[in-house]
Amino acid sequence: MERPFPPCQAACPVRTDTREYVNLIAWGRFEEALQVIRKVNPFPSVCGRICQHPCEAKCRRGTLDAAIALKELKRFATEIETAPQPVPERPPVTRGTVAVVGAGPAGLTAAQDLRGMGYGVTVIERLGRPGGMLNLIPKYRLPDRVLSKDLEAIIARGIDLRCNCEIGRDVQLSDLQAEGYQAVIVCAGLSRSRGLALPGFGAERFVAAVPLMMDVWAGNPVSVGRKALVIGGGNVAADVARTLRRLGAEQVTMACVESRAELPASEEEIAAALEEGIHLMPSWAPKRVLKRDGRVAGLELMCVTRVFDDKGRFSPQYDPAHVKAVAADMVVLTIGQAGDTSWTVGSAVKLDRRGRILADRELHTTSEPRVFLAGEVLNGPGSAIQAIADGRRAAAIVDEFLRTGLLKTPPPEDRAVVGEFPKAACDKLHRLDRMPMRQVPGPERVGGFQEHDLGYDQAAALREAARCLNCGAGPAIDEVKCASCLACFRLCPLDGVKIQKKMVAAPEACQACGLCAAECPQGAITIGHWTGEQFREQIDRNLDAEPARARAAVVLCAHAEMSRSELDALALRAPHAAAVHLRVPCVTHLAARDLLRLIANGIEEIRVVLCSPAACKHPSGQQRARQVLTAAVQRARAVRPAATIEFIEAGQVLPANPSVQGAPQ
Amino acid sequence: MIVVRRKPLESILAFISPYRKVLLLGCGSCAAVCFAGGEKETEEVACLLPLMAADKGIDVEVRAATCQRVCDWEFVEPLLAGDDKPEAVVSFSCGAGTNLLADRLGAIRVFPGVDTLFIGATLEHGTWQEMCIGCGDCVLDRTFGICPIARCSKSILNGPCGGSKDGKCEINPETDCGWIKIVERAKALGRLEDLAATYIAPKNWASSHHGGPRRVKREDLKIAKP
Repeated sequence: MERPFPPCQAACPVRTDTREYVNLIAWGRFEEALQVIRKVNPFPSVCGRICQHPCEAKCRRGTLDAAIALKELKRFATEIETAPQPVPERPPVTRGTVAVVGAGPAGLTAAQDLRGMGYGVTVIERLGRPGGMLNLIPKYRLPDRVLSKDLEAIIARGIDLRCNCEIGRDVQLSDLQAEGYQAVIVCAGLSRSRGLALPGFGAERFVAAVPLMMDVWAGNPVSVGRKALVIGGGNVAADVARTLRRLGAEQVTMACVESRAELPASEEEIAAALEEGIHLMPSWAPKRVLKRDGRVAGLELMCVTRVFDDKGRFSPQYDPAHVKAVAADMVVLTIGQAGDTSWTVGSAVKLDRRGRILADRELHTTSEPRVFLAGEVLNGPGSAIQAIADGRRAAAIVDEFLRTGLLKTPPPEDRAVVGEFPKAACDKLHRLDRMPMRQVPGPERVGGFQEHDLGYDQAAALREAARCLNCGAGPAIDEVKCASCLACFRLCPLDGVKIQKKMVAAPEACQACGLCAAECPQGAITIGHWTGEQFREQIDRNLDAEPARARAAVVLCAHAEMSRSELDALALRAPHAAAVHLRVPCVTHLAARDLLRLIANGIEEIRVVLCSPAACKHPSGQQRARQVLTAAVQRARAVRPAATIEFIEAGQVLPANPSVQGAPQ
Repeated sequence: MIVVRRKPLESILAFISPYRKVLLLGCGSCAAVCFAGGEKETEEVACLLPLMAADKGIDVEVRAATCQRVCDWEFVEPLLAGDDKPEAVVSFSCGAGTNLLADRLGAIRVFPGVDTLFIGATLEHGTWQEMCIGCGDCVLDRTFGICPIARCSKSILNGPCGGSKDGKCEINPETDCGWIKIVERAKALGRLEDLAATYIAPKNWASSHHGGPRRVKREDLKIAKP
């Protein structure tokens, strides 16, 4: 049975298996979590910092209390890795060669994918290092070492990278074709700031965002003045404004045509800007630049009455009578970026009437055969994760074309998506606060470019990951084994099973607690990947490794706020030191049969460590598990009168973690 | 559904003690639904039985397997295919399945792993009640759907008897009086007079088990394979 996509995964342009990596974190299996992310995303560290996380916006926990902090958990997975990463595979070149223009997220993703398929890949990049526009993201959001980590891992796959090589200047499209590349994918991004024909344009200290940020990136001296005004309301505008604050501007204002509710920048960016003392002027459009002695002295703005027309098209209208002058000794224009199309001159790549490259957005093709586009140069401005997805798509199309000669779009990765929580289920679910992330306070952080979001520590990440509702991981029912006994239907506290002649899962109401699977007399239900066989395997593995320990067992609910290292610490403590350690995704997954398997293996002393009820997302499930498992051990006493079971709440064995601010105690 | 209850482990061990290789055969139908003989229950026995055997010095190899319905041979046969045959099979199905096994298994000894109790219904998860004894001559049309044979302790056809008190039976005060239930049902339907006017004549018990094992044979369903 194909389970529906959880909404978070469906919202991710690369369909990251969000639920899986979050659960692996909750299980303390951090390296595996990172592997899940890496499988579809060559920029896990970057996305852990700056992804616009459309996944979080769709998280169903958001309708309950607060969305899971998916970006922060991704960041945690990329930072916790202790084991050295495996040396990336470098398959032999068996399928010809492809040139990629631009080493941004789209270009490098396409390059990595094609390299993995067996193509020889050369990437040419106009800047002195790969990363494209990611380099211009301020370091307080994306530190260099973080970006480098992803870039190095990609390049290490055997990609031929040529930096300081700009298409149209250092190398022509025809040169690449003459070198024998079978296809060229241009992912040159939008590298030029859009201008604005304002009266006074051209004054000194009236600058565009991209050159300014390039200077900041390159470490060139930038003179910012005392009062700066940024025109624009997007994320780049926020980046510029916050950068100017750090460069010494005392008063920074962001003015944009959009109203506060329409601001294109993310809420996080706006909140951070406000915390850093940046002043917002929504619904104000620049009218003219005020000058004194050839230098910028301020900006005259006019009030915006409407931004979008009735059809939602950008069509601002102004009230010319309502104007305001704002004094500023520097004005930065961040109203969008455009692509550089000069490289098309002399080639068969055509432009449209508005000067954009004529291309098929579905097939990524241009009017020149074997020349493809991907990323922002094709689709216009977008997020890094959209560029990554687009690079992947282009690689798939180019591969198909080079293998078969056919131009075909890759099959869509669409599945049914788990719908809204039914109100009745929502009312029954336990509320769990989102774990706060450690941050440097706003006034302190404007002193420099140090990263201000400090991420989660292990205890916070474990707790945050355990909040996941496991959307769509609920019962997969084996129709052949199912006896239609109705136990799952009767037992489910959330009405997550329905009767449609046989038992069927109702994923909207389900949070995959596993009670149904544990109860099912036929073992017909799988929750997530859990069939119960994994428990048997753990018993075998543990007993094979350390048969002498086999008198007692500690069974850990993986959500019991414990990481592997904490588990190791626990294992050294009496009386657990002399016990085998087993993990279940949640104590609610544990069936009576599983405990009897322990007893059958000579283990008579069983301790089950579970979450404290306040931290548990299945409080009624805990109760059921205690009842069923206690009864199972009582049955076993007919054979093993000394068999015991004890339930221990994690809080009793773990000290509260003082390093997490505001963590529920 | 046919409701069964697992036999004590000691009994099962006593059955199999002369044998070295035993198959515990679960049934994925009624016995699973009443949590006595499905896959998991059978595996539980497979966990505990060898421990008890070892304590008593009995050397036995136990394997558990479950099929959809033990009372249909086609489901069972694949589990017993191959050369590695058990010396004994403990069936966790109702007596119908166990009987069928005995008919088919030749030299392999067959034992019941459960007691077959009754034809019943689930009152709530974990509670089952007898509702029918399979007498072969149904009178439910005259008793408003409630069976006087199965649900009256004395199986009387025209009740209630004088032993009914406060709606309970004198045989077991925890048992509802079947006839009071019939009366209440008639009352609720506004048909009490029908009940008063009805005399149920003695049944022909030959259609019950008293005439020997019953068989239903439908010529119209008979398969003639080419």
